Amino acid sequence: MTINKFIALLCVSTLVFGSFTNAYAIEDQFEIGATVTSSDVTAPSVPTGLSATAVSSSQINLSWSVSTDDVAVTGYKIYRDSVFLTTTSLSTHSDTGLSPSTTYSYTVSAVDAASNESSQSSSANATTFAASSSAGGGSGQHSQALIYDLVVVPSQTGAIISWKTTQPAVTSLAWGKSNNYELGTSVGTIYTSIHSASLISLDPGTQYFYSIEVTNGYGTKTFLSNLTFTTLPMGEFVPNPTDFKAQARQADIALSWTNPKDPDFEEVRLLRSTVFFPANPSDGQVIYEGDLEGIIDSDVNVGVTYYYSIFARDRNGLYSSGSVARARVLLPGEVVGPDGNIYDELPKSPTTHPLIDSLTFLDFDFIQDGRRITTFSGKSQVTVDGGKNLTVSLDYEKVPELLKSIIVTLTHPSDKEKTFSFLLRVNDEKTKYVATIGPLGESGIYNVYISIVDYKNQGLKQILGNLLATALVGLEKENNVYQTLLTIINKNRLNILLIILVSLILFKSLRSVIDRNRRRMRVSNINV
Amino acid sequence: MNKIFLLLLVVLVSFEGVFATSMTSSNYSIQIDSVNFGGGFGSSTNYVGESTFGEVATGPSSSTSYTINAGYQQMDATYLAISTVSDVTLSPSISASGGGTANGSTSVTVTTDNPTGYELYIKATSSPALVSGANFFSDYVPAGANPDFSFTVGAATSEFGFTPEGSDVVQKYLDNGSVCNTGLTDTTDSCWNGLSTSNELIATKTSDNYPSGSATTLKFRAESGASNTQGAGSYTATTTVTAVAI
Repeated sequence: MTINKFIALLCVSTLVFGSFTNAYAIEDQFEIGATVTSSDVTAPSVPTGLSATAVSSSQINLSWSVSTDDVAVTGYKIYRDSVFLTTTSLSTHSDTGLSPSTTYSYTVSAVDAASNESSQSSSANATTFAASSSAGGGSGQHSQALIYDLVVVPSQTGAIISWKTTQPAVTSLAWGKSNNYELGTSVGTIYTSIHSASLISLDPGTQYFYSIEVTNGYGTKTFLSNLTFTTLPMGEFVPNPTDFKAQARQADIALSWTNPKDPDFEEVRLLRSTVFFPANPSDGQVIYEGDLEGIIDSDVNVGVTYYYSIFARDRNGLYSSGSVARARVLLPGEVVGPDGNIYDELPKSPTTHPLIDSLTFLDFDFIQDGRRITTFSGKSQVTVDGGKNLTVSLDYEKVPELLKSIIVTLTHPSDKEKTFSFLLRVNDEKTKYVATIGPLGESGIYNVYISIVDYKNQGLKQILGNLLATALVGLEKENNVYQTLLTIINKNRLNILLIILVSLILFKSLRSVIDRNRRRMRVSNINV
Repeated sequence: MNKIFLLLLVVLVSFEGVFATSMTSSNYSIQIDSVNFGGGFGSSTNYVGESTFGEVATGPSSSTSYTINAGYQQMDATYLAISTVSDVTLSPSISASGGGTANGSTSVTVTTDNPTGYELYIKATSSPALVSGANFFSDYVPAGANPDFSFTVGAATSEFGFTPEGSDVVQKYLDNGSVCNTGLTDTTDSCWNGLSTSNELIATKTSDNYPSGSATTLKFRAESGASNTQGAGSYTATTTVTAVAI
């Protein structure tokens, strides 16, 4: 083949085969349509009774009678000077930011969920006050706005205060723990006759001072001061039995406790489990109900650990959070070991929720006389009155809902072997884990061990702290002096008798000596 | 003679683009072109008319979309055509409250002489596909990985879906009478899926179907649950079907 023929062949080949390198595709576009129709085609009735009232140099209040609809009125459209202003679901509206000494015209229409709109109402006009207004007497508009129907509704940590004024007015409310109202001021900007303020983050069982100032549209002020209210005290649970002990013997377990000294106390319910402490009065086998202060549990097996929870019940059928104790009848030849810490004996959860991990002693509230104790030493010691009931609580939202138990163990100030454990249990409102115990009775530092346990009975966290208790040592603290004297006498009967006897003997001897001396002096006088 | 051939070679190198593709888009390209001395180009989204000097073009007229092949080009072109797809109006109207179902369908025919056949895809231009301002029907979501044999909507929701039917429908949309993507039955009004903005393969053939072509029926359904409140208005879904020669 000559070079010329080769080149020709190359060209033809390129022409024929050179373009088979592209894909083939073709498309078309089309539309799909659907219609959704409203079955409600009836507009609401036209609003009636529209009134416009100027309340200041910059505000006009509107009100009207509600409309009706075959389905429901969902709102109202407000027009000012024929221009759409706003929509509201109420039958009133305050139009603010207006110019002084200016007349405005309003109409209102009603709308429903299907966007049906009624015709606009008849118009209502009002003229805002002049920019500078003088206070004082004369017409009713220039007199003071009087405050009436003042109502305070306190809760444990807040209060809602409401009041009315005889004229539309703006208001401010200041409050504090003294009449310096140091905690804050709430200021309203809308002229209205109905006012309210909601105070939050207050301390339970505490008196607060507050003042109210109202200013009408003409700048005239009315002032009320040195008003007070008291927040509600923090509630107590039913007090738990105290000194709950489980003592393992050769073939049974002796259980003892002290019933709470609560006038409403009725009886206790004692439950047993081999898994863990029964968490509530229904969690476990009931082995006793009554008002005794001890029983023997003989239905036990050797070598098995038994967990006991005892709950006090009051006349209202309410149960305490529960005191706990555990015991184990030893196997033959087994030597009793030291009574270990509940938390140390638990299997540990491999993971701990961050909420639980961040808990500290300060997250727990210690409450006496309905008030939270705020006397802390450092971060882990709280001072309590050892002569009063003590409530321990933890806010519900501070821990996730994977908990089963929070167990608090106290050790005696002078005998660390003496411990007393009780449960924190969720209240009915599911707002707190709570427990109440009776007066500690003795002064000193009680070590506190708080064990947090999950639903698998695994230990999650232990928190350590102290209770510094102050109380009359060894005596029942009573307000009645006579009872106190009686107690002293009862405890020292023998000593008192001995003292009286010796005193009598001494008195008789002394009298005898005196009489003898008197007789001698008479004889001497006669002889003289 | 050598100079002529050299000149021809230079022309071949310089005008490579002309002989490769003269017109391209993201959807199609003209395979073969020629240096034109006569006639003219007419183009639309569906066809390209092309003439070469000295020859008269003829071609099939049974479909609305075609490419005319003429002269020495005819032996080298692959024929691929898609019929114009009619718009769909779902009916009846759905009540804004109380629920309801609206159905509609259209058909698309693909014709090709490609010996290895074609693939047909569908997609929507928006997600959700069926909208009216701020209101919409959610794109249908099957309960599992396969299309739902029965179209099911919750009482408080509204959804929009489709199903293809025809002899070339892919396995995913075939059924065994109760389950989709199983069996070889193409049960009517069964195997529902939702449109997306990505191409979904719905039909394919591995051989040519020239000149009769293959028709695939596209069925659409919008349903509002009995306790759903659907905004009143006119809803629209813009959909694209694409045929590709394999």
